[in-house]
Amino acid sequence: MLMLIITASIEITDTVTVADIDVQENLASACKAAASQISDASQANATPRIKDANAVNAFESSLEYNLRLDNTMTPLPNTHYLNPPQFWLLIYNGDSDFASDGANLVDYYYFDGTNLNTESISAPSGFPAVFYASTTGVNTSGGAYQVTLNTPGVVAVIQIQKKNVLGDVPVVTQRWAAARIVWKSS
Amino acid sequence: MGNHTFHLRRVSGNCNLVAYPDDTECSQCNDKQDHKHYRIGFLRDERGTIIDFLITSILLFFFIFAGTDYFTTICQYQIAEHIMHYYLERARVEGYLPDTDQSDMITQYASAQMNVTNISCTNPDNPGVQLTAPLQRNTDNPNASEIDLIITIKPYYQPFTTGLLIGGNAAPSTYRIKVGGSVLSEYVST
Repeated sequence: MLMLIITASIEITDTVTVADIDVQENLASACKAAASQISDASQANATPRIKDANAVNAFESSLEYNLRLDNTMTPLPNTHYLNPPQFWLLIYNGDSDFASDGANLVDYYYFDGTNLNTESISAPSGFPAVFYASTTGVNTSGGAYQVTLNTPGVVAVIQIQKKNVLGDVPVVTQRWAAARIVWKSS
Repeated sequence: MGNHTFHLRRVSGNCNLVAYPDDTECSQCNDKQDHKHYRIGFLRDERGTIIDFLITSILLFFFIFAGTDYFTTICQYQIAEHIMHYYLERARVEGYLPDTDQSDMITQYASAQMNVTNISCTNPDNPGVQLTAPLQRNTDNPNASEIDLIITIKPYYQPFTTGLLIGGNAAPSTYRIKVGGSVLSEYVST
């Protein structure tokens, strides 16, 4: 019983550090980096929209630096993680007014641990737009967590397996985060 | 098994402990002041059990204290991360980490029993050069607006000292906690 308590205290503390601090904070930071990638044309028009290609690059770069992954998303030596993460990233602009400048209505990406794939999603248009974060990504039909975007923004879900301190039961962490653009209209 | 009171005495010339049930007169010792009395509920009143208990206790002691040491170290790391993330967010909004923020951060770490030994707030295009003015947001070149913050901290108490009791090594005096992160500046000049 005593050994179980000791083991649990170590493993739980380590898991909380990885899941609630490292992964959660850094996913939120990556979402903010992605949401801040405004297209030049939309900014000049005072209706900021997110440039998708820049956003996904900023998202990946932020995760790589802060989770200590290499440029293939593989964890560097001496990090907390066992494998590359999987993530789902939705970038929503609400309209296609600046699609010619790279800001599409919606773009949805899924990184499976090796490749970044573009996924289809039945997105609404306009604001507010409701999305759900679930264990299988982001969708518009339902999930554990509801996210309402009143302005252009991003919603992301990440899944990553941490290294065990003790034992060999896989400990997989899933966290979600969202960020949106806020600006003064006048 | 019930509660039994034991006489424990050191056998002269040896370091062995011998136990006698309380209701049995001690035939080897006339001086009762040399005896220590223990009430140990879960042990049978058999000779040698106390020694088993002591050996087991020592092993348990190391498991408990090693676990506590690890727990304490991870907790220090958690606190260090929380404080760092707060100031990383400030750097994102302000474009760098001003002196006032750095002073506040050092005070916060001190209140958590940690001493800041180094703060590195740089841009990857100019590594090693401390940011002393705000970086502007730059979506055309994200690297130009990237702020890398690394904080090196020396805790007041060195971890992993349990090993010293068995001749092992504690953490060296150069032990530090290093936390940091990278953000893209959102600062726009007015």
